[in-house]
Amino acid sequence: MKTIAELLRNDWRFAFGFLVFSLCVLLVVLSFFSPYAEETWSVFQRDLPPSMENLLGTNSMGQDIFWKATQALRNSLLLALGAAAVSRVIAIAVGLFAGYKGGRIDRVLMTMNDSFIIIPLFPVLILIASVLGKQISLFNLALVLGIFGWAWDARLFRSQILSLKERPFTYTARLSGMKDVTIIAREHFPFIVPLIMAATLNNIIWAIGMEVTLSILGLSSLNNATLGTMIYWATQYQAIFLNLWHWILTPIVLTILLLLSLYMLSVSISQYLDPRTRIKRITLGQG
Amino acid sequence: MSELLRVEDCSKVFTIGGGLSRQHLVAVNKANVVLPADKPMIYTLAGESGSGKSTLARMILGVHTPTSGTITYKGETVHRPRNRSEQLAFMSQIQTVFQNPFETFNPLKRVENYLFETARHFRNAAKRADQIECIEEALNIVGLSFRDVERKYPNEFSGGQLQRVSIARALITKPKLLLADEPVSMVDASLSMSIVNLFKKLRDDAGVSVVYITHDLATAYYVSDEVAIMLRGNIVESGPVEEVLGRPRHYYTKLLIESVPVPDPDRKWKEDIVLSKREEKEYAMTGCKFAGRCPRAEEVCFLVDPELRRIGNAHVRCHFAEE
Amino acid sequence: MNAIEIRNLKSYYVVGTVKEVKEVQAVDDVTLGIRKDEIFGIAGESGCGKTTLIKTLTGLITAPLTVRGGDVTYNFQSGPVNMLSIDSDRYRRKVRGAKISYVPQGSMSVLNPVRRIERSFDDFIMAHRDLSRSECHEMAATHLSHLGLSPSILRAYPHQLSGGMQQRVTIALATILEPEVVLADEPSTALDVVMQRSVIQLLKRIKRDQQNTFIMITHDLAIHANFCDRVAIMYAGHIVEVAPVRSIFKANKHPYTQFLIGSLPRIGDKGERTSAPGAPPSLLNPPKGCRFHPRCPKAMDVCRAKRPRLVTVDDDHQVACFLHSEESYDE
Repeated sequence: MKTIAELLRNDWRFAFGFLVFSLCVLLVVLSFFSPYAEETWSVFQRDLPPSMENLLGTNSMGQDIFWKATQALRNSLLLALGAAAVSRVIAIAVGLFAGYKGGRIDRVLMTMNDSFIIIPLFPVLILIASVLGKQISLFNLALVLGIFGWAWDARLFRSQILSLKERPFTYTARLSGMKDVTIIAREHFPFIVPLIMAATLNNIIWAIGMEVTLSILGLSSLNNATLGTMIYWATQYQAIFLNLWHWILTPIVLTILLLLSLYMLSVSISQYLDPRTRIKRITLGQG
Repeated sequence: MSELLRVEDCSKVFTIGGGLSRQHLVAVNKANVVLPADKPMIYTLAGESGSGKSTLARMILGVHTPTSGTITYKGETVHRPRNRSEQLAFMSQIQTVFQNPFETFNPLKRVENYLFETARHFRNAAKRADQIECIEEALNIVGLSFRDVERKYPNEFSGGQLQRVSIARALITKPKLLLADEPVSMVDASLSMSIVNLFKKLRDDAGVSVVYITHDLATAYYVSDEVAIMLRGNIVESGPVEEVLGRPRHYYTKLLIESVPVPDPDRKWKEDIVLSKREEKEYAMTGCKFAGRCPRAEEVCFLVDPELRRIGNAHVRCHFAEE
Repeated sequence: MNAIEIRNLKSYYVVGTVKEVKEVQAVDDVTLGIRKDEIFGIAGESGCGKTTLIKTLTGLITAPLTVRGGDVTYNFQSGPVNMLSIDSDRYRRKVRGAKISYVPQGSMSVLNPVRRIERSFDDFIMAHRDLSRSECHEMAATHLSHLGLSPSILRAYPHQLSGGMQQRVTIALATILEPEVVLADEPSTALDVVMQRSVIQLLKRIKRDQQNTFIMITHDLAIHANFCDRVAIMYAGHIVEVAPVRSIFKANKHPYTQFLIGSLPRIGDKGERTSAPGAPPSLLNPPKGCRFHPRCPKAMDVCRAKRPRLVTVDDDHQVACFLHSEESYDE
């Protein structure tokens, strides 16, 4: 708690990110109280401008944009979190295993890893989307993104571990009688955890971006409200030409804000947790 | 069993690259070192970077396995599989002090962690009070107390102090053999002497033998009993330090001693030396590794690896060295 | 007239994290006069401020390094230049290549790894002189042969040469325009003993040919003994003793110098050596008064309160110590 307060006070990026993201979270929470279900159309008159009743107006399907936006935000975020969770588990498992075991296991895992890296993601996703067709759900999408999003980070974790293995303090720990597992948990984790956190935030950002891109192309679960699908429908209905700014701008602005705030958080948190700045803080604390 | 450590004809060859472009790097070539058990001794491995001294030290410690030859400690082979309690027993006998004290400890953790762990695992001290006792004992030998290190992080210490703590940690296990890899090269000159003196004290008071690795011949002369001069993986000359550095026989040793600057303005370097262009190729050469630069070299030196010969009290690896 | 006048120089590092900002007093009120044509050595251990001093002398002042006071005047043949008051970075660079030459620590990295060595020479020469590329080649080749290095090196890439060779090439590059002042920062550290000797020999040769003023910075006193005319001992941001090299070794006056010289081992002598007790202070919070007093066996009350002034106590011999003079700086 104290560190959050400290960060808020001193790092404008963290403050910005924290505030904006909290706002997004608030909107997500609100979405559970939405009086209108996601899929229903024609609740209101179409294409109404913002008013007291519809804070952001209505779209061409007769849905209230404000509530739709909260649901979209919620779904996009949940999808990204799901994808990130899946890919983290795989990336950590592969990276740590390959790094610590080395030898043949390392080579096999890394070959697998590299195969995943070079897979051209877009064509594959388009292929999967067209194969799944109507059965695409947000859940499937999250799974797919998770399965394809781990390769870069696995290599990152592995290289961090390879370097940690050779650091003299690892030898010191061993010479002090510590068991290998203890060494990994106590000596190496303080270095790896910040890396994992930063990589996770980046992964979330990537997943949101991918979802939006896929949705705009129509390759997503179009009946669900996500930031991407809102943009899709808005473009399908020619919102720009019809001067329905409130409809097209809402998801775009929300996406930008969400991504920007997450990015700011990611940058400032990873700088805070970076071992080098932590050491600097310890040094200056003594003066 | 009158030997503490015996390194016999030990070589280490690294294979770099794979597949079509494989290269063999002979890091250590048929090294021989003997440390007696009855008399604690400081044995120095001296040489420039790339001479193989660190690789040899790591083989003694058990990190690398020799490609050929054997290393035995108290008659027992160093490189054999051990279970956990055997491994602990072995580690308690041979400990290491690394070159960079700030790398020796995890910068994000308190230094005392390692001291407590060592005490817990090697001295059967389960209670904190017992552990502190062992730690205090070791710290006192190096001139510190537990109060000085309590709750501190590595960067709160100076290089010299931290190196002392590193030595203290190694002493907790009451080892018989200490490997010190360039222990003072990162410590300021005005402080390093007191640490070097520590090693002498360990030899005299605590009966600990030390394998001391350095590139600094002046310090080697000051602290060692015996010294081995290494060049590109080969021990070219070894023996009592007064003899090897006082009456050098191998031409490389002679060149080294002449080139060490003396801190005395009245004794400057004499003539200029000429360096050969073949310095870079020395690793891959057959025959004597110094042949390209040696004033005495003949054709046989380029072709045949010289054998180790005994001259006076020293062992010399040269075709032509004499009294 | 001295070649370089340094007066009351204060060069600090301003450091901070998210929370607070502090100043490291790396060079604190340093006054030195360096004579024309001499080889002047600055000795001291890590953290004493010597690298900061040399960076300030060459005008390489980038944040977090800030000059808090004093000045540095070079008396070139073309007239005096105050290094610190030069506003234009471009002019500073012009002075730096042609009149002052800086050989930094680990200077092999000065050579562009993807270009042949002759290109580095050409680029450097053409930045300061109006010559064609072939004229540059010729100049470089002549310079190298003068220094006993084979001109064929010019066609090589840096990675094809050994570390010591790269260092010598860098020194040749730094001195090709015959600068009036050469500042070398640990030019031979990290090289093996034999290579170190050849690097120092190279420097001696350059000095003989070009008659430049040399400032040599290294912690290795044996190098100072073999190379320099006068030596200044630096401790915790202050100069504590300046004297001809023989006096520094055989007739030193400051307790720190005595420890420094006394602790050096040498081949042939197994006599006991001792170090100074304690450790150099942190420059974030240096001790009051004389900065050496916490470790000095001869510390008196005045040492804890006032900072001794660097004064001349003997023929060409300056010390900052209350054992030898009563003058102090007003705090």
